[in-house]
Amino acid sequence: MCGLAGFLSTSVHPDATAGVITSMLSNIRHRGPDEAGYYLDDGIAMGAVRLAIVDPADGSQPMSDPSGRYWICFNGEIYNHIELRAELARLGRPFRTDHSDTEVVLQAWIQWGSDCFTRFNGAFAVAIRDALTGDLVLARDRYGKRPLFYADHGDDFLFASEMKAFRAFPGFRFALDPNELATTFGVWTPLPDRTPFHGIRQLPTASVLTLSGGRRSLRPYEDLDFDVPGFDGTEAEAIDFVRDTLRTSVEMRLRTDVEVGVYLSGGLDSSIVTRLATQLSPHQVRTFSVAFQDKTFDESDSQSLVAEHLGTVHCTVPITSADITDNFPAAVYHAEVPTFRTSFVPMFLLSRHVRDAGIKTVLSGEGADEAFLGYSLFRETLLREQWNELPDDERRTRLANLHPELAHFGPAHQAHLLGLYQQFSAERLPGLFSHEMRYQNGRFAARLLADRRDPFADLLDLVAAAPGYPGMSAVHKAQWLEYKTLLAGFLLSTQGERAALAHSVENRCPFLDPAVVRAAASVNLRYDDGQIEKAILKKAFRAELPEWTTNRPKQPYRAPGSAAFKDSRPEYLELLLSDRELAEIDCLDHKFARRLVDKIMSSPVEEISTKEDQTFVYLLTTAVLNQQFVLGDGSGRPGTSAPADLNLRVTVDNRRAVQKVGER
Amino acid sequence: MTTTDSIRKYLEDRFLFEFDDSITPDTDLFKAGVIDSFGYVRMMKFLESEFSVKITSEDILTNVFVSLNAIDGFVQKKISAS
Repeated sequence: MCGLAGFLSTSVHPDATAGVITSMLSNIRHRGPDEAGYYLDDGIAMGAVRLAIVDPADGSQPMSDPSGRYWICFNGEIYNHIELRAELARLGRPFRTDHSDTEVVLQAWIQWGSDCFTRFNGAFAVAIRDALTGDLVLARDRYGKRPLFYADHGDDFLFASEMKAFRAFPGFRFALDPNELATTFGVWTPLPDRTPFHGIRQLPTASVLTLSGGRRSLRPYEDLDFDVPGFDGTEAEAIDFVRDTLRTSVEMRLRTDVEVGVYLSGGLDSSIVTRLATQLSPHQVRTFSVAFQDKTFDESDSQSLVAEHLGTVHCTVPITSADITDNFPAAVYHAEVPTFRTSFVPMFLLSRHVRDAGIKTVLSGEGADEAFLGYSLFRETLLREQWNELPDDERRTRLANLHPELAHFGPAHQAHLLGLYQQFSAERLPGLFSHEMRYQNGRFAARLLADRRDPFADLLDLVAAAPGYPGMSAVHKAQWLEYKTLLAGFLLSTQGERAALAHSVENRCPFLDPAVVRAAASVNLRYDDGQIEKAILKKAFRAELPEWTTNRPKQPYRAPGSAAFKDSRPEYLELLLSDRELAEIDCLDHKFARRLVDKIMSSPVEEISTKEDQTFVYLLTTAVLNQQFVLGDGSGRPGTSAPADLNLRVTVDNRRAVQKVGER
Repeated sequence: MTTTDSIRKYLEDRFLFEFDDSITPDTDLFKAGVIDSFGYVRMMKFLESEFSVKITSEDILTNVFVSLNAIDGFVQKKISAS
């Protein structure tokens, strides 16, 4: 795992280029503290910070092919690099390292061009420079495991794994973009190619950006499609198929030169990953969990049960509300986007513990709910879609099973809910039927902004233009939206990758293997009606896990929200409590923001609805980001490393003006 | 306070907005991002206790409780029928 950064520039003075790229890399040093390197050529600088996991001895970056024509900065892991290397070697591609997957990516690119990306089973973001043509290619993995941002700054083009690298580019300024904030508040995440900041884009998942001779082309290399041939076999065969596919996925993700731990949440998905890891690891597996002081959120009993059952060395990090509020600004700094929950802060603290325990790589259960229809959203979509054909008692039964954890879904309110669901049984936002109830809450949060633009306008455009989307079933559309928004834009990034790499821990997700996603699509709703979430997955691992793990009701992972800030009153809460501070964010509807904050601060917690809580967290994260990135006073921001802290192992200067090549 | 004023005040206090040019008594409060499922259920409870009316399943499925005018009209009808 690593981070990369670079720029195409005519404005940076040649004497300053090395300093600028070094400073950019220093801002993302947490992603790769082991070593760093950069490559300079006429008009371009790019570099990488490296967390050495595969081939620590030979895998230094930037790396070139033997001819010196192609240069690569690579962030991520290609799990099938062994097979690809063998295939490329048969085709005559030369290799200089023992088993570096970075070199495999470079040689695959030289051999297959952009067709190489569909062959990669992994998590990656990559920059490849062709020194002969001057072309630069940026690409990103299918599901958005690894980030890649880019921005135009005058005539210069910047790119980096995290936006904070741009802070080091001369003259670059951050500004919040009200249009993207509206989308983020409405949808829960920025859209796949957007960020909350003016002029900064992210490379969408599964796409390639080519810069060639002043022209730019962005294209997807693979579409997200769930319409695969159905599994042709009995249910027992389907269960074996799912189990074997997952087993292979975990096996491939255990290919490293370092010890691999597991994040164990106590739910089904991470328990399955833990089970497979204990079967396939050469050593006793270490598992890591967060435990909450507040029992509403705590799952430590479920975690211990699985850890004992599977014989792992289990470690729990207790989290209090004060831990969340104390570490909130630092975690927001790493997240870089406004968010609706605080649940990423415990994950930020967990990764610190994992790093201190000497572990660089962990497996986790993300992606299972999207692939195997684990969320209640999918059952809700099926229910509303079938609403007008269902008898009254069936509607009531299914409603009662939707959110057993929410009091207002209880029997006392069922008649009221019938009326509500009736209203949501017909599509209002074309293509977004599955998410319309959730998006109602998003409309509330979008009221934080003075400009009342439609927070869903850009998402409506996106789905209308997405290949194959209009013809998908309602459930497949729901999956598509989950993969493209909440999974990539929050679970894998803010709560996943960014929280883990803040402390130099790489996470790997066996449920995001393309073969697993395909397998799930081929068995979903074929052997059951979707009313019991992840039924086939439960059957596949029932015999190997504690009974409770496959029978327990699903508990969404949550952490204390607005109440934590109200209780501990951290200093930065002044950003919302003071009218003067609030006025610093000029795109806000200050009157609404004030009413919301006043209500949160003065009402008992049971009077605060979910949407109000979420809107408060959005407002606070936005205020903290505004302070850290826009106003730039650095308060609450963790110190960035001085360039001197980088262990620069590779520095290459191929500029004709300044002929210097050095390796130290 | 009239029934209408009482409902108006409840909605404004509870959902943090004010009826004005952009949110009028005819605005669909779901579409405007004002009411959510939690707020909807609580609003039903409020109407039942505040005006001593009973809202049946049939009422819910045949009335659309999405704007101030629609809610007010329903409550007025219920009160006068009782």
